[in-house]
Amino acid sequence: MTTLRAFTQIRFNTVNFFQRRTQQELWKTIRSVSKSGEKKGRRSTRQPERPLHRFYRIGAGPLRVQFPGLNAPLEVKEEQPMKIIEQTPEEMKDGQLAIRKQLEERGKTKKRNKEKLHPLERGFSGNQVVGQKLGPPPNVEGANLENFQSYCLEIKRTSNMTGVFGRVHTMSALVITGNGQGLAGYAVGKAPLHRTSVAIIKAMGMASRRLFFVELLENRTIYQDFYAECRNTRVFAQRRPPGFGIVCHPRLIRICEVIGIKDIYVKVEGSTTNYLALTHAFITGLLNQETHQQLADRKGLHVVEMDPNRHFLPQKVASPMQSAVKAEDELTEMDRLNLDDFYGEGRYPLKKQKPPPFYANLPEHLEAEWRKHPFRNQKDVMVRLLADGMVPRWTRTARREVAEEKSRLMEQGVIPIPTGIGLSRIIPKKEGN
Amino acid sequence: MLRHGLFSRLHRLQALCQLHQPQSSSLRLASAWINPLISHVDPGRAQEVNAEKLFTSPEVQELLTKLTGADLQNKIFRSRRISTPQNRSHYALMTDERWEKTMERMQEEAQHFLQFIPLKEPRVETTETLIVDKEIAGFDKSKFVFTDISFDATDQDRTVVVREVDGSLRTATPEEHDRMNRVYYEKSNRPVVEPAVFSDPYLQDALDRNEHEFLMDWACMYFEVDDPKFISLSKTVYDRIIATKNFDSLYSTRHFGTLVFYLAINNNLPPLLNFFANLGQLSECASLVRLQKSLYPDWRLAIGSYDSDFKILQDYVKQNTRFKQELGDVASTDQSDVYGILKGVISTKLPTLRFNVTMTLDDCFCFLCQAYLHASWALNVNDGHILDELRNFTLFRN
Repeated sequence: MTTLRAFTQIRFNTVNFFQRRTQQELWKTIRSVSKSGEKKGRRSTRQPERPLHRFYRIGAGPLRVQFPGLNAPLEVKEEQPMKIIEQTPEEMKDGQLAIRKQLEERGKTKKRNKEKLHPLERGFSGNQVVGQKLGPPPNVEGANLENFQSYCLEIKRTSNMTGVFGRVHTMSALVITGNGQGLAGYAVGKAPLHRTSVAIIKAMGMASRRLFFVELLENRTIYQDFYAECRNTRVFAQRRPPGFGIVCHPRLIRICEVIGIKDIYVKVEGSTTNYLALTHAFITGLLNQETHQQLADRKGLHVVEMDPNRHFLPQKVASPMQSAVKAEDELTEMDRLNLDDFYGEGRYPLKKQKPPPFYANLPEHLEAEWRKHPFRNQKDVMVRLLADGMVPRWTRTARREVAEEKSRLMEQGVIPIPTGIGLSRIIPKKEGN
Repeated sequence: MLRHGLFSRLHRLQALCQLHQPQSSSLRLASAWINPLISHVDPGRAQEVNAEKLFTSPEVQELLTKLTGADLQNKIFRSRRISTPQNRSHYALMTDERWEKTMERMQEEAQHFLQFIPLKEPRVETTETLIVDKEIAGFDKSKFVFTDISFDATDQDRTVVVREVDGSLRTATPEEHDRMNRVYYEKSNRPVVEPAVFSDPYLQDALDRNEHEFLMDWACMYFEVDDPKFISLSKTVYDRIIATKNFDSLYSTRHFGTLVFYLAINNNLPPLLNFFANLGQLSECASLVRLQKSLYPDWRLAIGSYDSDFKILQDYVKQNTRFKQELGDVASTDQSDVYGILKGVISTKLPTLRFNVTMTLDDCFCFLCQAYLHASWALNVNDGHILDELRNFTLFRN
């Protein structure tokens, strides 16, 4: 049993500057900023106030002492005397650095606070919520919305001038929700300044109450090419074959995902940053589509699909149900129109050719291209030779094996060791020395 | 002057080559298309067969075209992967008239895809020695190959000659000829090394996956039709189809005609007869017999000009009692082979007949009565099954 006496710190003149002041005062000495300094933004250059009391643990020291009531339960059994355990040298070292370590780590852990998202699940920009998956909206009475998915398409601060309060700012969020099978809804939610999440939640709730249904061709694409507009945003959507994917404006990609469109090409002209107008235009266009059956009934003709994969063999997709099929002499000029031209309102997206790069006609570039010319077929030949098994594959493993074999032979003296730059001459040691 | 001299030399050489064209007709072995393993032709007759000539005769071509069938929906224009996959379907509005016209045009279009592959005997491998110049013997350690790459020479008639090391000048073998063609006029669809799928085990893999059509199309791309390898490959594929009775894999494709001809020239009809009978196509069965009899004409077995399809088939079965076993597949347990085929025809035809718009009910009835009469005549018994079917049909008719 060791005694405490040897470790008791004997202090002289215990009252010094630091002990005379309170903690707040002490911090003030290094953190204080004058009024004018504050105006210039010097506050942020000062040290942050550190919670030093948290780092001082009672009983922690070269010896770990348990003080009942302070760092141990008050009721100590009488049989057990006060416990003193000697520290190992490592623990002593750690103890001295503990505060520094904790402080250093604090800065790091703060950055790691947020979970890293998969690149496909990240939003449009940075850590922002816009464009991230928000999950299903809360269930509306009598309807289960669990298989829905929501996206926030835009968060912005809007302002309004009032007589009493002056400029009043409001957060506004555009949210779209849908089940990926044609059912979807979108809404704008608003909330006071800095209450972004409230705005999003409000918008989600409203969107789930304003659902619409979009008819899809083969459950993957639109029925026909369409043109739609809202304010200064013009949208040209085009039907595409299976496997094409969604090629369009990023906000429209999210909308398509939510509705369940898998193959589409959309060109947006005019304003591409008015997201509400963009959403509105696209969805109006989708809702104004007509199915093949509706088309057949309206025109009194068969709707026939001709698939290039089947050598354009015609397949009847829909026939008029209400009326008889028209005869050839009853047809008007309108009926003979190409179906693709029929829906576009005579408008076509602007097709701009990509301009050639600035270096396209520079003599240096042309010469470099010409120098590559003799080797233009080299890659194809290489692939062909590898595919036919005429040339062994010169992979990393194969190269290593060859090198190992070579070095083994050299060690055995079968192959002479090369005399390279560093080994121009090997002078054998004289045996006498 | 020099150019003129060169040209005249070249022409002389060409003339020399033409003079020494191997005489193929003088001494010919049996056709390569007669396979002794499946053949039922007597060897003496097999020696006389000229497969190329028979195949190109208009009568045979007509019968083969009929037998090939034209299934637009599931075969010729079935959904395939094409090289420009980014194309989307077209949609159009059509009246009934327009629809029928379009379908007719598609039928014509389909015939374009059903053109037969020319049936050829394997090319002659012998070469002709043109000149022997003893004085330049041993001029080099390698042979020299001279190829005519002038503008008007085609791959087939190009003059290729080889100067041997011993000083003799000879025409090139077909293989050398192909190699020189490849050197000067490379074709992207004919790489140097033969694709592995043309030989086992990959060949069997492809056939197990029912890729017969793809395989044969590729073979046509890769080989010339008179290449011995192409002919042996086709025969292998056809033999395996016959062994597995998988005729459906090539039915309604451009290779089916050759397959039918291969079976007909080997006088081995039962597998195909069974196939057509299972489809319920009596007229196809009869056409097949007609084809076989036109390949091996025999006045004793000739077909009368007024013979019905059924009669032709019946006669064939009677004349070829040795096929009883094979035809028994369809014939089930009964004594008569005709009955089996007939049963197949009736049982498959009946449901389709009832809903076939183009055939009037009276036509159906006539057909069935005829079938019934033939059957009862052939069997000499009142068969319950056929009677039942007839009764059902008359009920349906009323």
